[in-house]
Amino acid sequence: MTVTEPAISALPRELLVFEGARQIADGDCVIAGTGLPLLAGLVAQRTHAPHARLLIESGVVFPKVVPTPLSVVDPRIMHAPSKLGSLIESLGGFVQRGLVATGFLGGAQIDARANINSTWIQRGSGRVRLPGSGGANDIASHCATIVVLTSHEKRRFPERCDYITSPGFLDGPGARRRAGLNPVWVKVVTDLCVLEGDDTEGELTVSALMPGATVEDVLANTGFTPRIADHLDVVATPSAEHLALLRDVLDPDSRYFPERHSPERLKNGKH
Amino acid sequence: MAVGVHQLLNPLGQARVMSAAEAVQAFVEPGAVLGLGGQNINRCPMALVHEVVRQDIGELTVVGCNLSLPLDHLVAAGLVVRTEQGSGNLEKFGTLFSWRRAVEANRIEVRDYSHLSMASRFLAGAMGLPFMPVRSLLGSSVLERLVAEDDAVVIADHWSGEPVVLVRACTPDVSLIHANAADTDGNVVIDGVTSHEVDMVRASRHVIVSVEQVLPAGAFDDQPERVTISGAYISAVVEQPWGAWPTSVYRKYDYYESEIDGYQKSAKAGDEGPRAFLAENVAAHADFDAYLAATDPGGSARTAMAEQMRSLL
Repeated sequence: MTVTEPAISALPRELLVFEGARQIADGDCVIAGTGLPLLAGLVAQRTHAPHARLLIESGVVFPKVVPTPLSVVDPRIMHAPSKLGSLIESLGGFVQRGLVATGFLGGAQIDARANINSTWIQRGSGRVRLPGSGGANDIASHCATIVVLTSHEKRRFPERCDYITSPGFLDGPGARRRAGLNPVWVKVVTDLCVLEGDDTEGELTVSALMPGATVEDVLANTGFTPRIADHLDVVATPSAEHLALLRDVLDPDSRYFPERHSPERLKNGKH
Repeated sequence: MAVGVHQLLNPLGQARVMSAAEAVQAFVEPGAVLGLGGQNINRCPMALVHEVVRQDIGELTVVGCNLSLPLDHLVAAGLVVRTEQGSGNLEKFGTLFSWRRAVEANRIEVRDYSHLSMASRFLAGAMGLPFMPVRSLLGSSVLERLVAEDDAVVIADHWSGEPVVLVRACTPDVSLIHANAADTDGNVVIDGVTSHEVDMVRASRHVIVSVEQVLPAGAFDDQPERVTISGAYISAVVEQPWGAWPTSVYRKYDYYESEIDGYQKSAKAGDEGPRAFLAENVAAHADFDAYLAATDPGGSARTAMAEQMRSLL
């Protein structure tokens, strides 16, 4: 018997969405910004986690999102919620209070100890200014699980971030506790692999590979030498049905997947 | 002035209806700490910010949570010396490019917070408190800088002994927001999320609110729970339909992507684009209505965005 390829294969950034969705358990409360994280939350709700609830930092509590929000204050993300509240309600009343199990984050850099930088990066003798924390520091400080979806480039994975906007394991095992933060489990999903870890390890370990990627690919594109798990899973590709859900229902105009129409941008999904 | 005797400078409940030009002239002074409402692409106080640019009121310290287009306009106009914010961000439409360049060149000073810690500063101000505790920021470079500048301290919680961060109250001299409606007494209705605005407004000495529609006094007498912010905190009410354009007003109109995208593309390329934008769209016009008439002749874009919003409700 021959192994049949799926009729349509997922793009690298689409795989990020599906692997992100798998981190959400049914019944979880999840905070996510727009883009791939929100799509991951919506995929989870429409597949294995129908009771997962979304929280949006602008104050939108448990929305029924319609396609395709470009912002956390987009009317498409304010659709049919439990409540339209405030930043204090979302980030204070839910996140800081500890009611949100899982938070999705982005960022320009994530380091060997899962710290995230979205504020300043050093480039040569100058510094490049980025948007800043937003709700990211709050989410990384208070959620028990952090999921990062990112393209895998060496400059995005330094040994140590130039600036820690959002805390991962800080300086290593026990550092969060010493700083006054609760433990966290971090999972980073890239177009090459999955890295994960918790406070007790204090650093990220490669735990799975994306289909077709190798450990050598990962090492060549990472600015530090990550631990490699003894057994590496291969991330599952989505079914044709689930892929159609993402493409036709959740982001029908490809607002977050311009590469669907421009093959030269496939690699890393650079806009 | 000692914290705790922080006064609202408008006599409570004495909001006045006036034009944007009159309100900005009356309440926005050079060197002011200016609070900006709105978030990202929603309900940004564009008409009021255009007026600040038109009147060339500078040396401003701009404060807010997710600062966006209004801040970029003020920076591009050279009116900002400092910002205190949770982020400078337009999400899908990119970062704030004028602001980024000014920060990188040290033309403006910047103080970073998380959104919760910044919103907590407004909450402290709104309650007459000198500071608010937060459990965010711990262990981060954000906190390191704030502690070095004496803008935050870490203390042990008296009861648990756990570390907690105290951030100082933020009390803007004047805040600018755009809302769905207000009555002539300044009672404000905001539909949709309120981001950081309710607390920021209540923490401010003066507040100018522009609204899609001004309603007569007593309009909410039979439904006072509709009021999001009491007129007690409002200095001036400005009637300005489409006053958040090209950003959205929930229930009224969607954001107009092509104008936001066009501005961002030109801003990304350099300082010339935003300067030309302001010359053409702000300085060249007597008021916001003139800008609207020029940017959307005939109003077809506005009609389309109003219809688009209705289709989403």
